[in-house]
Parts: sequence; C-alpha cells; structure tokens
Amino acid sequence: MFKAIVINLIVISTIIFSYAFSLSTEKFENFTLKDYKGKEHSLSDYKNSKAIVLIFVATECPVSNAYNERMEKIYLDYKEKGVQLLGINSNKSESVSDIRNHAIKNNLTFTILKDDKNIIADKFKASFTPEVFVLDPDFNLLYHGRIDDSRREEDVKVQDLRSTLDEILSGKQISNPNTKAFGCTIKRV
Amino acid sequence: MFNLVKYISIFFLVSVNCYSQNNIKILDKAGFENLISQRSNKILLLNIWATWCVPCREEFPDLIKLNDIFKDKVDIIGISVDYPDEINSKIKPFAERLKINFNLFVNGIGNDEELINLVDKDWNGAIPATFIFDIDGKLVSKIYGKQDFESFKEIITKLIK
Repeated sequence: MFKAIVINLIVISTIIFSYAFSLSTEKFENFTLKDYKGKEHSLSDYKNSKAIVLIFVATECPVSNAYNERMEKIYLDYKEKGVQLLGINSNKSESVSDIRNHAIKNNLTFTILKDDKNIIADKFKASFTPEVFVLDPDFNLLYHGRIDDSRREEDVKVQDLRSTLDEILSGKQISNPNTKAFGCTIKRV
Repeated sequence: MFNLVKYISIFFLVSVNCYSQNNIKILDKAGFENLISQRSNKILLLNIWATWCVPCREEFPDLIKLNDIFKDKVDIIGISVDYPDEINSKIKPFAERLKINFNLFVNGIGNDEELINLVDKDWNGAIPATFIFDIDGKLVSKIYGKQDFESFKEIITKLIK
C-alpha cells in the first residue's frame, strides 16, 4: 500500500515537473540554411558547441549596423570557448550578394545565413534586427533579446549577451533570460 | 492684390501651425504618464517610430492624413526613439520636410527597455508600433508593424463609435 502511494507520488511529481519545464523552456527544431558563399549549415552541425548564438541581422538597418563591430568581437571572443555565433538575414529586400558585400565591407567573419522567405524568422517569431536567440546544444532557448543596452557603444552599461554567455560557460543560471530593445522590423515576404 | 495678401497670410498661418507642432520635446516617465492620463475626451493614438526606421517613415503621410480627418476626436502623438541629441539633426528636418501636423516627442525615458515595458509589456520593441488608448487612458489597441491609412481609419472608426 505504502509502496503504491510512493510510486504514485513519484509519477505525479514527474508529470508536474515535466509540464512546468515544458512551460519554461522553448525548444526549436533543426534547420538548414545556406551562407552567402552557398555552403549549407544545419543547427545540428553545432551540437558540440556549448551554446549556439543566433542573431537576426540586416545590411541596411542602422541599428544592426551599429552592432557590426560588437557582434564580430563577441564572435571572436567566444568561438575559442566553444560558442557558435551565426547571423541570419531574413529581410526579403536584402539579397545574398548584398549580404556578402556587406560582410566583406564591415569585416564580418562569422557565418551569415540567408533565410529565404523568412521561414526561420517565422519559426523563431523573430521580428527585428538585431535580435538574439541563444540555444543550448539541444536547441532549447536559453536567452532571447538584445546584445546590450545601448545602440551607442559608448553608452553601454549592461552587456546582456556577453553576461549570458559567461553564465552559460560557468554553469550558472542565466540571470536575465529575456531582454528587449528597439530594432528594425524584419521585412517579410 | 487683396487676394494675394489673403493667400500669403493663410499660407503663413498654416506654416506657423505646422512648425509650432514640431517643437519636439523630450519625454520623461512623468510626461508619458500625463500623455496617457490627461485625455480631453479624445482617444490617443501613440505611434512609436525612429528616423532610422524606413517603414516608420513610410507611415507618416498616412498619419498626417489621419490627423487631418480625426483631429477633433483623436490625439495623434509620435514618440521618436532616436536620441534627444538628434532632435535638431534628424527629427526636426524630417518633421519639417513632411510638415507633420501632430505633436512629436523624443524618448527621454532611460534605455529602450524601460519605454517598451512602460508602453506595453507584451511588445518586443519592433517598430513602428502604434498603441491606442481610450478617453479614460486605457490601452485598447496594439498595432505592431507598418499600417496604411485605411487600416488605421478602420481601427479608429470602430473605437470612436
């Protein structure tokens, strides 16, 4: 009798815990996109990373462009630590050649993927640039929001993306998993 | 000759009216709360925009037209999320070029996130975004993304009935 009660309690607790966990985390499916050189990249290629940073970017958006150097520096600072940073361009008005020329001109060396027909932007419900999603190796969402708290680099007080990555790398709980900022609306088909 | 003077006077008055509207002020938190609460029996259409935002700029001719038609029943107010030190270099030239006929403010409420959450906690910050408050200052409509004249008109017409 006692054993049956304990088993029932364990089962109920597991169900409640699983339900609560499913409410608090969002999991994304694998996807494949081509970069501006024509090479295919799948999220699953980066399953061995400690974190995957996806940033929806643009070539014409002044806000996204204000972050070019900061994004590149974050990419360089964290790639050796096992963090994969990928840019995604979902703007219908920005072609693969626009993305290539923009990356060359602005010395962006991280991979930038072209999201034709904004399919991935729709899946992520991404709406502006630059908008950040940080995933764990199983594609669970760990962080969503801004790169930092000011479009003007000299006014930055909180480096949200860097702090989040540091917390992930040191195994700490992410202190601020959701942040907001103004950005350019993604131009969808 | 009399007609010419009359037309010049009318042109001058209209111009003065347009430019006096463009006395762009910096909006702090208290100012924002006053905007929402102090309704003179008019609903408030709050448009959040920036000079760097192409779809925001594209909405303005329709907002100007909307103000011409509904100004007795609707207060249209634009809050620019450019920086306060860009009033003279960016916001005013844009306002003057388009002869914007409603009041404009620039965000002076700390960082972006503070204004976003103050306006609407569900909003992620993508602009343009338009929020309509009823005559009691209650948020009754959230419109994310660029709209045209007809869609604004349809929403407003329903609310002022």
